[in-house]
Amino acid sequence: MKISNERNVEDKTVIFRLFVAGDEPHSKNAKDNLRTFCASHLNASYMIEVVDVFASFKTALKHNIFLTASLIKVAPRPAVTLFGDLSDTHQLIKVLGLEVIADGR
Amino acid sequence: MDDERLSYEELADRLADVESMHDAIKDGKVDGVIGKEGFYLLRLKKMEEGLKRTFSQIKKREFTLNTLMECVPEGITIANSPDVRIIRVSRYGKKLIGKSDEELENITLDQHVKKWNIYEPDGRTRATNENLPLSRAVMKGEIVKDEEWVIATADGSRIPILCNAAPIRNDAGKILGGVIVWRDISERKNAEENLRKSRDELERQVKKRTRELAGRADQLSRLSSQLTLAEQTERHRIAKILHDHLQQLMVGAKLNQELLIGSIDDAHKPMAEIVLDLINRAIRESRSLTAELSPPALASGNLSASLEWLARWMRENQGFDVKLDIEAGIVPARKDITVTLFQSVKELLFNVLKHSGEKSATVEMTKKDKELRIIVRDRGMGFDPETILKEVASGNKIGLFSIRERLTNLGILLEVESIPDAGSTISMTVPLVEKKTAEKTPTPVAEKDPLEKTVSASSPKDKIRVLIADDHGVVRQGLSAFLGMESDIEIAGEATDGEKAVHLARKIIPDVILMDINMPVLNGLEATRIIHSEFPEIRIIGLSLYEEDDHAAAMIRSGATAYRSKSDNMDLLLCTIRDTVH
Repeated sequence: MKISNERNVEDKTVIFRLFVAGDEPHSKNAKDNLRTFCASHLNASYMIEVVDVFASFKTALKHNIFLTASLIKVAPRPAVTLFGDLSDTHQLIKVLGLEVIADGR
Repeated sequence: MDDERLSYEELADRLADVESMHDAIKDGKVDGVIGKEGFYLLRLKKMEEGLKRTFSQIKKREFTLNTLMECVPEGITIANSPDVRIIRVSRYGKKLIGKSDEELENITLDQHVKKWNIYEPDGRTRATNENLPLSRAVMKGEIVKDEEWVIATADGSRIPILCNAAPIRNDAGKILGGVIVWRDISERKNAEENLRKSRDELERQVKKRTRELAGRADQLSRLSSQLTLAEQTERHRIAKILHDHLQQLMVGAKLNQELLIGSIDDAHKPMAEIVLDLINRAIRESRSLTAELSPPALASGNLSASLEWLARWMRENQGFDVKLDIEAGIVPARKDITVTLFQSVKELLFNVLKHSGEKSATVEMTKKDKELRIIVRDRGMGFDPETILKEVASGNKIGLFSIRERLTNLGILLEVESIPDAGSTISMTVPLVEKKTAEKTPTPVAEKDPLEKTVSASSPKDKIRVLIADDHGVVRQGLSAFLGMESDIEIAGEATDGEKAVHLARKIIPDVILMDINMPVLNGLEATRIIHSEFPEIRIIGLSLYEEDDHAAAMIRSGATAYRSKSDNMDLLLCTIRDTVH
């Protein structure tokens, strides 16, 4: 599954890969929190690829992912991995290292 | 995950990732983990909560079990399956047996009997391991209820115990072990033994009291019998005194008065006849009293004749009609039974007369299956038997109660049926043993000179020679004086008893003998029989104050030609004497 702000994927597009376990509570929270973050704080175009481990757990293993929910910032480099439901916005801002609107739109 | 060599930076990144994963897991923000086989949902919080709850329940159950095993005053033993290894024994159980944990716990089935010293209920036969309740519960799933066994304690004493055992099963029904609860029942056994002893003692006392009561009842019955006979004896004695003395004197007075009337002038005759009438009335009253005190038939023990007399007496003296339906000749062996039955019937008839409003009743007497039954029936106003029998010593109503008491003491059954306004039926039933009548053998009469005077062995043929046999001098004197006045009668002799009468009869062979019935030595009946057998031509006239037909009949059967009462008019006697001769 992919979520984007409907812009063409460019080099400056932020690409997220989110590993979830269907609609399990933390996975659902992670999806919602990431969308909110991207919409409110990200000052760039973005694309979110959602990988459901119920459908394909081997993809997660290939990416060294062992928990759900887990988020990999694929682009721009460097790749960063976050675990949990992504409810801590400050941690997101800090770890992702992206150009953001601090207080949100 | 590929097996690859990682650079230091990559390794540092991996470590950082691990730390992050750890934090995420610790914070409970992950859904699950991904392994080689797949994805595993983690309900860590729930698992933790569940584990906590489970742990809490386990703890709680452990507390409960500990409380049971430590505090409950019962022997409790828990064993595992399949080897029936004892894993726990309650504190009370260990204390009761007086052995340590090492001796009692952690032992397998093959050591149960040996270590625990268990015996069969008899306290002597050693138990077998496989037969023990706990073994059966664990190995066979048996539920054992209230089985008694004996256990030997460390000090050697043997305690009876009551056991209940059951298997411990999981949800699938598999036996995981077994539990047995066992209790010292020494006190209960002692109580049972004491109860048994008390019961035995009570039974012994009851038997003893019953014997005593039976003895008392027997004694009471005997006393009652003696009282009945004593009462009847006294009545008879008084009646005899009246008969033998007072009445004979009055007969003598009557005879002399009749003589006097024959010799005085007409002017004085009315007064003399008034006196004679008074004497006759006195004789009648006295005779009635005598008969009431001691009916003649009752003296002989003949119950049938006694009831016949009673029926006549009630009719003549009370104007009360008694219809009889009785078997003749019933003479019970026991006189007290006869007397009591007679008096009871008399009392019942008087009750009908006084209370029922009726002037008649029926008396039935039957013999059946060695039982005698007398039934008194009336069609009067009836009564409530329960009420009447409860009333004691309340004047007129004592009758039925006292009758029942007397009859009960002699073993006679009284049954009362009565309904108000529908008459009454009262029956008395008694086992009957009849008196065997002895064969009468002729009473020998001694051949000796009579002490009474005789006149002559022969006399002129136109005179009737009369021998007077009576034990009362006044009567003899009166008769002699009266008859001597007649020109065709000669007094040939006088005898004071039956034996002398026989002797004189043989000697002087009179024409007529006036024979009193009641005489000493030999009574008038026997003397009549003897004389009649030897000298059938001698006319014997029975004489007595009794007017009953049975006396007359008895004399006639013995050989008498006629019977007269001493209270009859003497002219009747004269006629009889002349009629028998001519």
